[in-house]
Amino acid sequence: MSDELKILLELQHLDYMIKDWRNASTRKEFRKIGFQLETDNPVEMLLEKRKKLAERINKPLFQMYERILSRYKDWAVVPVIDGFCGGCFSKVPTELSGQRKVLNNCPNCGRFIYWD
Amino acid sequence: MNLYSLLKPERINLDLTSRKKQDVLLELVSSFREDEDSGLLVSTLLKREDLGSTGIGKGVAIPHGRSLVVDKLELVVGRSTKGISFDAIDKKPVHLFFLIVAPPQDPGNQYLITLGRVAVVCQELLKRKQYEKPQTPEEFIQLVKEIEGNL
Repeated sequence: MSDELKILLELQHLDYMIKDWRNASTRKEFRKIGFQLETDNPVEMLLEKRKKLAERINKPLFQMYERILSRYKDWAVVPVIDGFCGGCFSKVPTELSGQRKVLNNCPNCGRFIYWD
Repeated sequence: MNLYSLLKPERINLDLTSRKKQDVLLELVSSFREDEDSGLLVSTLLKREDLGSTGIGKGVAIPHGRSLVVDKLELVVGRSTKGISFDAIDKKPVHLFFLIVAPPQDPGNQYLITLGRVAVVCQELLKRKQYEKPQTPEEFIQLVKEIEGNL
């Protein structure tokens, strides 16, 4: 897995977390369970981490991540499962599987893909 | 929902060897991922810990996160007799860990339901230090089953 892909996946994991903490009912449930925070604004703290993480990849790549994310509203980086894109479920050309160390995009949906 | 039905013997480690937060997270994650994804998951879990420790006190921690690395909810139990420093809210060492990793697409919000259920079951496990009794993962699952039967 390339460093760029690792960072994109970390970004995506952070985005899941931000989504959860933006949700008022989820936050309420977390409090009910007994989780205490060291910050009054967890989303702001996570966004700061996101910014720092984004600085570790080149700008065009980050912009592409943002574009894909805003287009699909779910995830921008997906695994290839049994030869199919984990985002749009279309067949990924076999020639791409030979380039596993290179960052690829699904030819159908454009999401970043990686082999699990 | 029943927690015991989500527990698997191979995901229960009753003798954790780690002594530090990052190490114990890796030890827990390693029960279902041993590739480079495990490092990614630990990194995500640590970011969650930065918001505030998931060590909710009385020797219990419930680290959690979402990831595409898993295609279904993974629940891992870890126990440490000596206790592990985890920056818990009461500053006490943690003896019992429930790690929850869920996929982002989560119909029925099983992630939150499981988190809530774990918190309830932990309260019972702490009574008279019941969590110390099981000698095998199977005995641990049986104990959780009995606790849930009495809830």
